[in-house]
Amino acid sequence: MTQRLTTRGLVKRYGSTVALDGIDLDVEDGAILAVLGPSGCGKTTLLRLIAGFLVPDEGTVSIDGVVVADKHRSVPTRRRDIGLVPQEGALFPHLDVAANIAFGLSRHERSGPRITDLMDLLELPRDLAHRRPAELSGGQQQRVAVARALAPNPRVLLLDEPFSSLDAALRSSTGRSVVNAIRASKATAVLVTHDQDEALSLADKVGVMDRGQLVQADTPNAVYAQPASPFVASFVGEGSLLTSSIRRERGVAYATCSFGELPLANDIPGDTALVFLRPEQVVVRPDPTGEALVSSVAFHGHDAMVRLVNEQSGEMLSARVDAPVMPPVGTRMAVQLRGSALAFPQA
Amino acid sequence: MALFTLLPLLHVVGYSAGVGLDVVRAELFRPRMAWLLWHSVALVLGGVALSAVIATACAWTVERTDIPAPRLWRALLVAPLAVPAFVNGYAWVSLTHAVEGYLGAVLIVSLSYFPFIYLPVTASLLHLDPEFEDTAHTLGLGGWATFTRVVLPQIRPALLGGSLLVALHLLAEFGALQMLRYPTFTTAIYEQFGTTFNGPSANLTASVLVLLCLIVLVAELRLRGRASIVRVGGGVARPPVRAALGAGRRPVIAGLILVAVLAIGVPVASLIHWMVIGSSTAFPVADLVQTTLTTLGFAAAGAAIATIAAIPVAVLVVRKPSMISTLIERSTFTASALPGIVIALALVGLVLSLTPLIYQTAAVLVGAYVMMFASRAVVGVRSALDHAPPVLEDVSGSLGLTSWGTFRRVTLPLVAPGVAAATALVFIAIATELTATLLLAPIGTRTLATQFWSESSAMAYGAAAPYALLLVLLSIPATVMLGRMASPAPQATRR
Repeated sequence: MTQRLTTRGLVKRYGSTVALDGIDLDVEDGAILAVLGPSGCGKTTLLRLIAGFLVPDEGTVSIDGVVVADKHRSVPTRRRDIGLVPQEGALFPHLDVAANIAFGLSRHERSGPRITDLMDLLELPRDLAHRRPAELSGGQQQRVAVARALAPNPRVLLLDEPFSSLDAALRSSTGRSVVNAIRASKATAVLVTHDQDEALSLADKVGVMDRGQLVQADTPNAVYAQPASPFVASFVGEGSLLTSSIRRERGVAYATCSFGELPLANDIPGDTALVFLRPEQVVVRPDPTGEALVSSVAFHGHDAMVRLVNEQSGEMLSARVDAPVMPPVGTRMAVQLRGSALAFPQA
Repeated sequence: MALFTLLPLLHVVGYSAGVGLDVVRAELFRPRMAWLLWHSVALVLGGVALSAVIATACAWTVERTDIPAPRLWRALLVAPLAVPAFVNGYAWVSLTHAVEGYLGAVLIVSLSYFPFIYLPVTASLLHLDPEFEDTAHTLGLGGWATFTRVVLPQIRPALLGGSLLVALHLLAEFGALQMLRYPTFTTAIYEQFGTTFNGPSANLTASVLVLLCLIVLVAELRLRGRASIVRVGGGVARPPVRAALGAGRRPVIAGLILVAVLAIGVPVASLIHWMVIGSSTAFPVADLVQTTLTTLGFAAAGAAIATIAAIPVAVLVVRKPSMISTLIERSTFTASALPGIVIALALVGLVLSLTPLIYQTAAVLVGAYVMMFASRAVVGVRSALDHAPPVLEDVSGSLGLTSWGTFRRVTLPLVAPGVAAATALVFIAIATELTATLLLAPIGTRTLATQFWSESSAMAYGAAAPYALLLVLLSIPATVMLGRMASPAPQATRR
């Protein structure tokens, strides 16, 4: 596969603060990359550099192998052949749905079937064509914004937290239909989001950012199963970080923490480590002699998240239990750890 | 632009600093000065207080009680703005001389200017989430306690902002007070100008007037404090629960009718009365047409220049906010806070000392209009720009449009209505301006306002009526535009 979008050593500073600190990114032709990170990590800055609204202080942005931005020159946005879906859609309020979608098309293209094709693709009812943006629901507005951006067949589609203003139910259905439309039109997309569910469920590849750096870029599965750092581990999905000592026996390393012992998935040098446990790795049962106490329970319908506190160490551990066996707060529990744990060097 | 609008202030300060302490002492520390000061302050205090009471009571009654026909009342309570204060003064004094003096002056200027408080207070009541009032009721507060402890603190910025506007207008008011024979600094400056022409008396009195304006501005800033309304959570505010008036219904409605009759009924009836009498004696069509054309010409030139000058200032403030851009914007406000008479006086002084050739030309008059009303254009263009957030331009660029294409297809269609409205407001303000026009109009140039003034000053009430009527007609569009501020905006259905 060829690389559609590449950045190398991208740096952007605002005064003395470094917003982006050397970003190397590759997005293959036809892939959807989710850039995931907490607010202020620099993900929107990255998007604006790719779009050409900002000029990098160092490094390059290339599309189809051609450098479009470095610190000396920057191809203007309108010649980069990109599509942009901002937060809240930003539809042109003075134009109706059809005119919004047609905005980037030539006069000739506008008369063809392109607009209705795109409306169908994004599951927009055709009778919305002559509505004003103010008359649409939030989800519809986002779909129109995506149709508008896809209309001129951009080489890269950039989506800036496009679903964050929608409520939970609408978010997943809108997200799914948008991704289907992107795949159907074989577009390459970069989706910026702070929502890990969105990133894991919609993208082919997830890039996790923290304080201006890209800390891991891999498939959703790999990012979840093999996080590269404690930050990635706790930001993507839930889990607990526990201090533990390392014991090696016949070439196998075991971690011992206050809740028990389990083998390590990766051995690291030294005698101590931070181990990371997903809630599904923790099995609990009520036991009057157990060392863990239930400190809180969050009910999620199909299951529940139980927070345990170890009486001796004071450390916290999350466990997922089936809803019917939800223990009340204060119950004494026995803890069993399964699978293997990821170890990180102790900071 | 910023420097241009600062000229009058610099002139007044410079002049006062230049004449020497002895002259200042001789001019300022006179019993006459103290007497004028007392008159001006008393008028401002009385006028602002009465306006605030009328405006707040009316706004609360219309927005928060089950009064019939709230839309009609909203329109009627804004309508007084269509009658310039000097026309209102003429309408009353031509009917009865009982309105001359302090009480009459306070009553009539309040009837003319209370909509300046009514508008922002109504707008803020409409935006005020009724949740606050509901919460107060659940906490056991009664109607009056809810008003004083919950509603009043939240409409305070609007109330103070409106009061500031009224206070500045009262300090600047010339026509109405001259009609009502109530002397203030402004009428005194006009008379001093007439007798001594750009002498130290007029200029020094002007500097005291400027000082009063500054005191009002600072007082408002102090009182306003850092209070801001925080609304937690999104969503659209529900319509408020309207209090039942019950037994108080008849007196409350009677009170509203009284306000409407005094503020609108009397001036309109008086105008019609004099129209009927006046047209039997003289109805100079040619003169009317000529004067109207002159007025429209000046207004068009001033409005066009003010808007064009306002665009870069507004763009700078909205798109590149910084200390400097804010300073530039604020400097355009200083001239508008100064009374027209001070601006006129400063221009006479400046023009005579710098370029006497253009003295008494149309250019100077248009310059004065731009100084006085540039801030309104800036405010209007600024709010128009808010309709075109930069993200729309980003999207347009990403879709391959050039800057010109983006301007033509996105920015222009979005800001054009707002800019046109701003231009129209300035246009109308100029068309009905009296004070500066009287001082600066080239000899032989007559506008509707000055022609009205010369007729009514000569007690030719009938002859003045057609000009007054035209002034009212000219003011109606601006009044309608301002009135939209005080009506519930159609809610966009989002989400």
